[in-house]
Amino acid sequence: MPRLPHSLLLRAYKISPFLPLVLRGARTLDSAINEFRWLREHVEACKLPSDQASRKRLLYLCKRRSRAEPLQYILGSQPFGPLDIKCRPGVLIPRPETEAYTSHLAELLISGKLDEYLSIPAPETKQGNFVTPSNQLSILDVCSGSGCISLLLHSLLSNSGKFPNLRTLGLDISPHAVGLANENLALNIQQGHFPISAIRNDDDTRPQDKGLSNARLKRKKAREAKFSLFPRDKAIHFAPHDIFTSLPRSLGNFSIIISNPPYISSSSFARETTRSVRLYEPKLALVPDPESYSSSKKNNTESTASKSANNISIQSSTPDTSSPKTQNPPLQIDPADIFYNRLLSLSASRSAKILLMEVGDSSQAIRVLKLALSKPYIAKTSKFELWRDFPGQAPQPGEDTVVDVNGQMIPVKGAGNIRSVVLFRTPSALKEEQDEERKEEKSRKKK
Amino acid sequence: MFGAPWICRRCTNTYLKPGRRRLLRFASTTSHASFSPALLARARSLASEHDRLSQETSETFDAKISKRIGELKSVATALKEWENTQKSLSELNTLLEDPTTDSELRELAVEDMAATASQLDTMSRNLTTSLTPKHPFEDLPCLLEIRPGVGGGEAGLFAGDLLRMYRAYCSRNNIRASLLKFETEDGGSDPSGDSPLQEAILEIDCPGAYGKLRSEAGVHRVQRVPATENKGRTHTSAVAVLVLPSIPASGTEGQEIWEADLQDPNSDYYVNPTDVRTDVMRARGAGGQHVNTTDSAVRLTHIPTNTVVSMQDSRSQHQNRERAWQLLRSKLAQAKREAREEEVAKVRRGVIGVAKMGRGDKVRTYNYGQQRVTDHRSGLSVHNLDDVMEGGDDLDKIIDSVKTWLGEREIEGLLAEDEAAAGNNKK
Repeated sequence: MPRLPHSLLLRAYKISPFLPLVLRGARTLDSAINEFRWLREHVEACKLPSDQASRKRLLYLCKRRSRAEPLQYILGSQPFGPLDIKCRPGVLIPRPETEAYTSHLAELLISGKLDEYLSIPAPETKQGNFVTPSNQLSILDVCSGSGCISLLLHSLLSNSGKFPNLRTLGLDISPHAVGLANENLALNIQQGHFPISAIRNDDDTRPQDKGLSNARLKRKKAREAKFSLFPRDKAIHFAPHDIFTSLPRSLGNFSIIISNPPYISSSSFARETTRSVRLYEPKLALVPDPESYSSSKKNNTESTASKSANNISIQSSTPDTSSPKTQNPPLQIDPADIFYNRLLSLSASRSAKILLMEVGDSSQAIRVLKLALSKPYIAKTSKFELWRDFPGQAPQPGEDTVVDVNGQMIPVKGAGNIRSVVLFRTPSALKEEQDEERKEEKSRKKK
Repeated sequence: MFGAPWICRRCTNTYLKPGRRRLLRFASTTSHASFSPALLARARSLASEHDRLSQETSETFDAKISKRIGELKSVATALKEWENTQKSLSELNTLLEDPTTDSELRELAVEDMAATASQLDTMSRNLTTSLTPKHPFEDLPCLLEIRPGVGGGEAGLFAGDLLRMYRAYCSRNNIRASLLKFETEDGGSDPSGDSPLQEAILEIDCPGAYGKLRSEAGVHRVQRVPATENKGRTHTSAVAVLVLPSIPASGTEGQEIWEADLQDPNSDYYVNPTDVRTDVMRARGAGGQHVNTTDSAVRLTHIPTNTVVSMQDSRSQHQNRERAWQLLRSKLAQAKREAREEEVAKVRRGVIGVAKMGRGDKVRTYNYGQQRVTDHRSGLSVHNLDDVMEGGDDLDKIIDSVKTWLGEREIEGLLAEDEAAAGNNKK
């Protein structure tokens, strides 16, 4: 970290004696001035009894900032699209890039440009006697953290009125994060960002419940609400869950899976992250550590990713005899990418039509694409896209609009660094995939 | 020689030089005779349109037509009244000219005549004001932009004073005004601070605010001993005030109108989104989870006109973007309107001289030494500077005088246009 020149500190001091403190955290004068203004506005909004008290308070906050504590933790919030998201130490702060791709996805969904993918009839699943209503758009946010992605998507989509039957589930391993996400939900409901119809799910009777008496139904529902990951009377919900363990079958399919998983390798955590990230933000949300997900070691039917410490080799999950790809050497998975492997298999087993995953940089994006291409039934059934930081904007000069991965040309949208990998399930491929799944099941039974 | 031992010179001058009659005005300001036939023809055509439209709507109802009727109604009623008065005047004239009228009646007629003539004057004035074309942005809320001009720090200080004046004016008139952007020279942005202002944008959020304040646009000159001056010399500096119509993207009132206008490529408010480049201040380096910046600045560039708008006041990028779009739309709408006015002004300029109001003209002087505020357009001087700076009644008086002046200019312009059109027809 380069030292701040004295001249800069002096200039800051001339503007306000508090400013050099903020400057130490913010590192540039422009952002320090803005941050100082927001801090002052925050203190003014507190309406402290005397001028001296508010000065004292401001000095205290500036001192905290000078120790590189993120402004979002000091002020306790971060705007995210039209929403306001509470921030607290221990939960990752929502990033502007996340905001950009989430609102871009919402825009695409609302404008109907993704209808061709969404309109595919879901494969008939009879898992757990559960049938997903055909007109339902269900979203799964994996590693939801503060809940920002779920809340913004749910708010934008439900306010557009295009998706009357919308359900969003946010999962996170940290109960602390889930608690904060639920607080954020309550806060934004209070601020009127959700229509009332978007919070409750009225259509909560299952076909198999039709014969039950009212009293029994009520008891059943109460029991479910207690133990279910996604209570049926809620349209948006956050629950603590380790995604490397199996998801209950009863959750059914999801139309969209979106995730901002931990993706920083431990070496770049030490070198590339800024001081305030390293010192104050939870490492759990930033660096995937195979050791910490103990439950992932269990051999679950759904969790295909087995996590030994460093290099993980997986076989392609299709039966050996039918696929020509088995000649490929087993793919080495970078420890930073273990979540993507899990997300890919999750999206396949839940027949997700759209899978959006945030990645750290272009090399990680390409690693994820290679991983996806190594799984034949994902490679065959999906259309890939890479999105940059601001996917809605025209590309800047010097930015490629196409990337070559294993001989396949992948389009790149937007301006900035490569930020997310998007998979769309193509309509034609769906049937094949069902066949594949059936074959897989059969082979499993044989074993 | 004279009966009186001494007579003051002024008195002698007055009596001995009767040729120098000062302080006497012989030309009447406006008389009914001066009412131009071109203007009258225009009024008649508008009134006939009003009659035709109101007949049409007697059976069906159309929101657009009834809005137009509402606009024309004032002209129609004013014209009717004017014609009635004109008729009674001519009747009185024939009565007077008729030699058979008896003397009693004649006396009455003479009395009536004077009253009717004065009535006719007010009628024709009413008619002219009703004919003044309504500014297309009149009903909109507005953005008031204040920037210091020549004069360095002192100009910045006075810009702060002007900002305070307009805020006081708004609060006194119960108009909601909020600061959209506030930047001082050293980067602080506390409206109560003493540092010189660099740019401020006041959003005046009440319908009709543009019509009320558009006469404020122009260069405001100040003459005073600045706080920064230590030798007691008077300085002259200037502050530019820009008044832009504010186009609500999703206003509560009249929403359907704005929505339609924003989408319609022919309207002034339309901005093609593909013409606008958005720059968001991006974090250097890896971005994403690696950094947690608070940069929320948004810069919009309208490429065809090279108009740049940047916003960084709010922590929310979303909000900054919305505000920047609002400002950009206002700026472009104003520019489009000005370009159109330019053509019309060419016709008018021959008649009125420089009447187009832009940012180039000095419009008002605030002289602290004499405690005087003079508006250079209406020529009104007010010797109560403090009240003006507090946004008091005297500021109202000045604004009203400018508005009357503007109305008169509009009428002159209209006449010039009509005459030019008539001249073209003859050819």
